[in-house]
Amino acid sequence: MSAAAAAELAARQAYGRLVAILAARTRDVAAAEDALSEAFHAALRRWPETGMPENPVAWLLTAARRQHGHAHRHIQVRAAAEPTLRLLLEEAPETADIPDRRLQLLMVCAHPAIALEAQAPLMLQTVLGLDAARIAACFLTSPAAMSQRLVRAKARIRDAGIGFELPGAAELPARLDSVMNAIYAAFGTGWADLLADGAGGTGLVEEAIWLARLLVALLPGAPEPKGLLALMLYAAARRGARRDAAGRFVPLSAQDPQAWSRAFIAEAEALLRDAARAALPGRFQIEAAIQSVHVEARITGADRAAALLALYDLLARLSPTAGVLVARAAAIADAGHAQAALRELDGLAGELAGYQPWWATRAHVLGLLGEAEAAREARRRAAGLAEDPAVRAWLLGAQDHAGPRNQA
Amino acid sequence: MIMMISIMTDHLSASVPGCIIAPPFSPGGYINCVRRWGLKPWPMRG
Repeated sequence: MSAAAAAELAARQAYGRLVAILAARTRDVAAAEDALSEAFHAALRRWPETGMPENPVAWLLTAARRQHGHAHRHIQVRAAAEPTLRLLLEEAPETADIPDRRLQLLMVCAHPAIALEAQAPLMLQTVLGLDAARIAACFLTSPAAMSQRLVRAKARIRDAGIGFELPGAAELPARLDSVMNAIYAAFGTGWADLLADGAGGTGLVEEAIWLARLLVALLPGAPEPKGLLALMLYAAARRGARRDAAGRFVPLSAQDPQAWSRAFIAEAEALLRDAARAALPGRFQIEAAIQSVHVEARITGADRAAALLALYDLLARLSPTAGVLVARAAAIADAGHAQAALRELDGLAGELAGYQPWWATRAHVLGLLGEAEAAREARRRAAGLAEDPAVRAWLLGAQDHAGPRNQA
Repeated sequence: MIMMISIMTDHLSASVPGCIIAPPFSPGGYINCVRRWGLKPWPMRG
């Protein structure tokens, strides 16, 4: 790792910690960020030359103090940041241990008073230090609109007096769910972007994995964050195998396991095993377990259709979303019950008429039942609803018996 | 004997230019989950 990359890594780790410490007292996240920006500029300039300080967080606190005494480049910003900078001067220890309040910060970002669409962007900015323009690009919105959204969210934290204390035992599970949903939403957005350009994407997948790693580190006893991280690692592990050399879509069932990231899969498997010890299944753990089944079945060639169905049954009980119910229908079909799967899909027909996976799964099931013409028509509808051109082309070219399965 | 083969494999891996030694990896983490979560056992084939 280069000195610049090491400095950026340390700065990122310190960023969320410092915002959390400062904003915990003032509840003014914007002022905390303004107060830190100069210190970070100095760090990214200096650390590659001088090497990393022993305690980057303390260094940044000291740098912020020095910067404060210098000529002002951003007078208005500095005026707004004044109370927070004063707090820095009063509270900054040179080398002492600095508490980690990033979990509280994540919980604040996922507070019910914060608009849902602002929660993931707010986490990316306050915990990782991403700028609004980059976040806007990730979420396909204009930098101005994203800035406004973030400003409103921070004003809400300050004006509503949202506390930086951890929620009590009664409220904690729901808030943790919100944190995980926001992280997964960021991952999903990055994943959709990867599908769209077939190349590196905006990096949001990596940022979401970073946040999930942080959550696992902050809550080592909780199984669901481990499930969330495992799920994202399984998906990210297959990134390079999802397109062939010509850029064509390759479904999971045809992917070359050699092209998967073994390191990611090994980490995901270890996380899943660790999470299972708590014997508390949750949505993300089950989805990760389903990924684990796919990985094993693909590597060993074993038939694990029954295991998949058992996991989907549990998932459908805990989290009966459209995606889960449609995927469960596919698992029913693959377990040898295509007729039952078609009945399940028929039962969902009304509300999912415009849902691409419903049509894709229907095509698969009809193909298994030998209804070639109906399968072709369903596949044509699925192709029409597919946002990814590569998936669309694959659906239009797929054979009846292959079926449009395992699109990720 | 097993250790010998393992050492030889590692050696071969390390000596092939461009070959990366994969981290230890055994699939099947989901089995722990279904046991712990009390799911019904199913016939294992393959």
